Amino acid sequence: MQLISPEMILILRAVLPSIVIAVLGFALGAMDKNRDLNQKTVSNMVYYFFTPCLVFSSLHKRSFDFDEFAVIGGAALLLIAVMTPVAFYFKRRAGIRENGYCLPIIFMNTGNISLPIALLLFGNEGLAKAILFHMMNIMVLYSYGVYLVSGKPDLGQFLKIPALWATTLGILAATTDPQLPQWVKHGYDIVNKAIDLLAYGAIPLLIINLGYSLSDTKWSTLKDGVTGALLRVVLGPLLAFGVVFGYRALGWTPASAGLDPLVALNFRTTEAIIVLNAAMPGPVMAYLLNVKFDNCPEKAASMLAVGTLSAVVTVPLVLNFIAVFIVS
Amino acid sequence: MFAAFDLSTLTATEVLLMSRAFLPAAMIVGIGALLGRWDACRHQRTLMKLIDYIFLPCLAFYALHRHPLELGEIWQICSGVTLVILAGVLVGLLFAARRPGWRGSNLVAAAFMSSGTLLLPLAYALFGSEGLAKAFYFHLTVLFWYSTLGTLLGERRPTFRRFLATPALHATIIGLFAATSPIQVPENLQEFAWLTEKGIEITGLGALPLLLINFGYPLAHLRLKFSAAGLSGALLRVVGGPLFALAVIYCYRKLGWFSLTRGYELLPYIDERTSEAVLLLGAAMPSSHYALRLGAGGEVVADEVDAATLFMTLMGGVFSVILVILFIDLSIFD
Repeated sequence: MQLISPEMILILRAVLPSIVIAVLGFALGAMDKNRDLNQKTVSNMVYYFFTPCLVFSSLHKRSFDFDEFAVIGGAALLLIAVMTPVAFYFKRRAGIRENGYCLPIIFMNTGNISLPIALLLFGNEGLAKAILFHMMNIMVLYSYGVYLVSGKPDLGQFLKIPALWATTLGILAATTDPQLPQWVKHGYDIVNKAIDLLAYGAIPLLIINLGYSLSDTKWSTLKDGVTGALLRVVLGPLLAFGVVFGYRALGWTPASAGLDPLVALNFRTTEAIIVLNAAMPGPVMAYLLNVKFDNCPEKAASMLAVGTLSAVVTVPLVLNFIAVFIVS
Repeated sequence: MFAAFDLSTLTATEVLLMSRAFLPAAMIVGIGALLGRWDACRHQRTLMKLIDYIFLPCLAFYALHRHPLELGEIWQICSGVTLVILAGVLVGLLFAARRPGWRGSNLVAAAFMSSGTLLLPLAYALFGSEGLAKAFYFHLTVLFWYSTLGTLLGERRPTFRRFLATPALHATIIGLFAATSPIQVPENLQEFAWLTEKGIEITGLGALPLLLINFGYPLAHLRLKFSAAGLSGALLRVVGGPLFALAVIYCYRKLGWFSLTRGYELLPYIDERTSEAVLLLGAAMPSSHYALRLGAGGEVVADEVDAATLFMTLMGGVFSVILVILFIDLSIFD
């Protein structure tokens, strides 16, 4: 007798390995009573080395399609744009003055949770598309997000995003084929091998860091973040479905399978990645920005914790909706 | 006994394949050194904690849970490593008797190799999952001898209990149990088991770059001093180590523990050659970080003598490891 349906197995395939890794991080945090592990070091390693390597490693191997980037990046922008007034409305209703409250509602955790799920569910193609979404999300977070919490634009901060440079280099490597001497090509292959090896570390470190952070959550503070977190994980995917069906209505993504099933599959994967990312809880980076500019960090931490915990339920649900309404 | 070590027979493709395994690892060690420099080496504990409690156990399980348990293979590697370490300690003690500059932790730096941080990623890059499993047996043997003999030499009490509490050891036992257990997982739960394994595999592979970074992390902060004791210790490590390993392999072949001829079955032959290769490669590794921590009373940056040994083994190790890889290609795998 089959206890679990094939569709459920497909969803479990995407989330269970990530949950296993997050549990390892959580267990480490629970054991580490003195909080000896310096999370800033781990975050720095991920931010400066591992994630840029993952970004370059997934982008340079596949051809870059500008239309695809426009569809995915446009969706990310649209979702952020729609969530912004919603977040400000709820901020005003809660009687909070600081803009930091809005960050975990507006932006998505497109790194820690979404990238591994995209990889496990849709393979390297899905990972590359998820990275395009992730890039747009963090570019806006580091420009508009920083502006919201600091009150002034910071172009310098934006230009220092290592993943931005990795994306640019990855796209450049994917779109150009310069005639280089053989020894340079061999050297490039060796550097690529090192980058691939470093990329192996990105996903587990991202999830372990998240699990470790969750182990320090104080349950009594969680109620403060319920509204914001639910807005993020419920309204986000609903809006994304609206964007996807809007794209179909406009003809930007074909609604029917057409003659080439591979092309249709590619578009369905793009749509699935948009909805999946929109269902993510708030990003850890939003909390770190709030801490940096002392802009409502407690509420942001609470929203992140509630959002991430509820994602254990909402992400499989959204994946199920993706399977029913998009992929099938 | 060994095929001729004739470098002229080496093809460009072989050199390229070997450099693709070695150079990326060296680059990541360099990144680790850079990170250590930026951090002023303050967060080695964070790296070690992540590696010791999560990444290394996951790598151990990933390497061993599908690897067939063969007591002969475990015996060959563990006894081989033991002999190499004991030979290093004996020669080191002879050096120490003649040179007053030598201390216990310097002896540890000369006799014990970096089996975890460097050997594991290199063995995986060169010999795949098979090499990784064998390198784990190698690493655990080194860890055992370090916890007993090594700490004793370092003028400290043996920490055998700590060895027994090593998460990687537990993961190895669980991995071996999973590989040999006759218990069949019910069909419905097989998918769950496979997905849990997948999570562990993703984390295990993530250990490879972290181990290399961890090796590079303190290098930028070593207080280098070209002391005579440091130089002799380094020579013992990077020259003596592979020579001892070669002697062990020679004896094992003479005793018939490693077959000499290819025979009818190719796979056991390749398996034995891989064991020899891991033994040789492991013996050529630079000094272990443990020696540094031992000399520094648990901290990372140690006394100048130990640091000099480590630094010089690192410099010498670049050549010795390349030479050993070439030797493995030409004379072991033939």
